[in-house]
Order: sequence, then C-alpha cells, then structure tokens
Amino acid sequence: MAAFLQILVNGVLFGSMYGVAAIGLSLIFGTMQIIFIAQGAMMILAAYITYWVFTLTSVDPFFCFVLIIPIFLGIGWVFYTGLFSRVAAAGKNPSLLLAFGLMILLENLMSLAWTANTRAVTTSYTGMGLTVGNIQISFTRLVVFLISLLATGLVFFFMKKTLWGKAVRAASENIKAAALLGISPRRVSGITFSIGIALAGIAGVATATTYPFDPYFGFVFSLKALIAVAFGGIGSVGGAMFGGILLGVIESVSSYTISGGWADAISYGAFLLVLMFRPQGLFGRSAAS
Amino acid sequence: MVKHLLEVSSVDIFYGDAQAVWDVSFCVDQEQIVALVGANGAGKSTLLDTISCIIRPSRGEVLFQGKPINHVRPEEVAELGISHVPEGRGLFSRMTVLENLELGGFPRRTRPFFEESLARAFDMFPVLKKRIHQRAGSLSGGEQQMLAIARAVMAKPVLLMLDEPSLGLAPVIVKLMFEIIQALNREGVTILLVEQNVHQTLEIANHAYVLKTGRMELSGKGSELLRNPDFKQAYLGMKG
Repeated sequence: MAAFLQILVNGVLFGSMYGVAAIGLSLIFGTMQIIFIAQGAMMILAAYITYWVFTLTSVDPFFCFVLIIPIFLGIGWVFYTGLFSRVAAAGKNPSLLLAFGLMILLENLMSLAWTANTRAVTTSYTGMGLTVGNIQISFTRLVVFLISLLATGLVFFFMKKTLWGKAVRAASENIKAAALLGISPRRVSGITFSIGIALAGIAGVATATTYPFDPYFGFVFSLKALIAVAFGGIGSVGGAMFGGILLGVIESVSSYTISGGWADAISYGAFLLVLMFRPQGLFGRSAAS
Repeated sequence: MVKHLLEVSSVDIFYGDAQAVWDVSFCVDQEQIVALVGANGAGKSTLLDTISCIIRPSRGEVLFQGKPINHVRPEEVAELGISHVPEGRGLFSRMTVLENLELGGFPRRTRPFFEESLARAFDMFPVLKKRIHQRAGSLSGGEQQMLAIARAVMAKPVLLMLDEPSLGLAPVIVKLMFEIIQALNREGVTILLVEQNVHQTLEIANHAYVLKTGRMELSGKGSELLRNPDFKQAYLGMKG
C-alpha cells in the first residue's frame, strides 16, 4: 500500500509539469485554433537556459523560474507578432506548419549549439528528499509541483478576474462576436500565445531541475502535453492541470506495475480511448464546439 | 450642411464570387429608428456586416459621421460608436450574464462610465439582475436577446444595429423588445433595425428600406409604407 501511495505521489508531482505545458497548449488552441506542436521544444529551450545559467554562474536553478517568465513572455510576443500573426490570415494549416517548422528549427539549433548529449542539472540538494510517513518526496519535485500549482492559480486568476482574461475566454468562444465588442483578435491571440510560451518556459525550468534532457525530448513532451489536454478538455485551465496529473499518475503506475517501456504505450492507449469515448475531455466544452 | 449619421453609398457586396448586394444606398439620421426589411436572403444582414466592417464592399462606400469606414477593422467599430448585435446574438454562452455585460464595456472610451452603464442596464432589464451570475447559455430566448441588447448598450453606442431581434421569440416578448428599442431611442440612441417582422417594425420606424434579393426596392416613412396598398399586399400578406 505504501508503495502504491509512493507511486501515486511520484505521478502527481511529475504530472504537474505536463499540466503546466498543457495549460499553455489549451490557451493557444482556444484563440488560435492550432495545436502548438513546438510547445515541447520551447520547454527544452527553457531547460537549456536553466542548465547554462546554473553551469556558468552557479546561481540556483530555481531562480530561473523568475528569470524565464519575462523572457519567455517576450519571446512569445515576438513569435506571435513576427511569425504567427502574419500567417493567421492564411488559415490553420499554414499556422500548423509554421509551428512544426519552428519545432524542427529549434531542436536542430539547440543540437548544433549544445550537442545532443543529455544534460542534467545537479545541485547540492538534487538527491534530497522529505519523508512523510512511509513516502519519500523528492525535494526538487515537490518545489516544482508547488510552482506548477502557483502558475496554474495565476493563470486561472487572470482568466477569471481580469478584463483581458475575460476577453480571452470570450474570443475563444466566439471570435467574431468578441471583435464586435471591440476585442482585437490579434491582441487576444498575442496574449494567449505569450502566456502559453511562458508556461512552456516554466515547465522547461521544472524539467531541467528534475530530469535529464536532450534537444529531442521536446517532441515527446509536446505529445504528452497534448494528451493531458485531451484528458482534461480544451478550454479548462484546471482541466489541463488535472489531465497532466492524471497522465503522470498513469505513467507512474504503468511504469511500476508493468515496465517503463509499457508506460508510454499505456499513455497513448489511454489517449486513444479518451478521443474515442470522450473527445471533449473530462472538463472541456461540449462536443458541439 | 446636415450630415447623415450613417451613409451607405452605392455598395456592391460579394461573398467570394457570389454577389449579394447590388448598388444599395441608404442613410440613417441621428436619433432615428431606421428599418431594413425584406425576405430571407435579401441582403439585410450582409449590409449590417458591411457597416460593422466584417465584410468589405467591393464597390461604394460606408460613411459614419461623415467619415469613410471602409478600411476600419471590425474590432475598431465599437470604439467609433457602432454596436452591432448580430443574428444569433453572439452571446458568450459559457460566461455569466455579468461577464457578458462587462465585456460590453470593453471599449476604452466607455470604461470610465462602467459602473453607471451597468446600473442602467439592470434598470432597463431587471430580469438580468436576477440572473446576474447565471451562465448566459442557460437563459431563455427572450432573456438572451435582452442580454445581447444590454451588452451592446454598455458600449454607449451612437448607432445600435440589431439583426432580427424578434427571431424565435414569443409575441409577448417581441412586444417588450420593441418597447425597449423605442425606450433606447428616446434616450438618444440611433437604431438601425433589420427585421422580418415587418408590421411591428414599421410601426416604430421613422424610416424604412425594403430590400429584395440584394436590391433596394422601396423606401419611405414607416407609417406611409404601412398605408401603401401595394406594399401591404406584397409584404404584409406574406406575414400572414
């Protein structure tokens, strides 16, 4: 029983990273109507920044959470205004291709610049953990989990309580009607894209502090984030986080009960099941939208 | 020189290669209620969409307060003072009544007056106050229409355009709707109304334009058209 709880806890802590990236994906999909497949690549970029900041300056990698947010908000804005907004008029397929191209470009640039060797951030406290009852909780993963919850809370607050957050929700539901109220589709897409990229950044810093990574990790992470969104449903911030945690738990349980290799197969299997029987996810909008 | 508030001048409007409107001209003066009537497919909604810059005319121009708005983006018209309630209302059904109204007050021009506008909206539509935290999608048809109008009025429009506000509503609610439209007009809002409900519309319209398959067919004062025997046979006979 204790072992099972341990697996559960591990899954929840790890899954919260998927959740953060998934919220970003969900937001971007809400206004731009595309799956931003480069989300994982952006995460890995943030992971590399964390790695290099730590390696070169010995500054605590957790400091990168603070550093990355404004940088990635800025990168998101630049990518949107420089790339995606220009392609938006041409439709969804060009936007999808652009995201795909961006992913390939980033992965290969990172590989060129920093080699494809696996990197990991090891600090003085990397191996440390807390023991609660019979359960070991890795310190880094706990911090990451708390930060993920904080990020989720902030996004949720933004969407529910601020005027622009409501504008984003409105535009995600009906972009034409929102425009008639004075809400610029371009502005709204720019805002959600920036937030989405910033969330990828947070997930990336989290990855760097808890897991070894390489430039090509990004694609798998994008897939996992997508699965999390499928579980939780598009349009729900809490749902995306829940989906991420659910995925983390599924992977953790599968890894333990069957084997590591099967964990992926089972995750993708669950993904297929959800798509077949509940495509709107657990908390998402109805299938009609 | 008396400027028209809105002037639509010799517009041709296409959807891709299909022409929907041929050489239509009309104008709306300050504080009037002007109606565009006609059967389905006559081009009425197309004209409203063109005025709110969702579609561009391929020929002709649209002038608002004397200035051409051909190259304005749809998200800019609310700031200019044009509020358009589209067919189907365009409510954010997953958001609450209050949130919909808040978004009505989005234009920067109107934000200083937000509290006041909200209070006026609840005065005019007390049922909305009762349902303030309910999801807009859970309201009845009549309540949704009222919310749509209240939301449009939050933007303090100079020109309010309503596309088929009576569609799908019970006669009692329709009557209430027309009373509200008149009340808004008395407060100084100019109204451009697109309707298939011809009789009641003409009773409140200062001026009406009749469209038929994309062309201007007739125009005149609402009361005159109601007395015109040919008009009555062609358009009121249809109403049944």
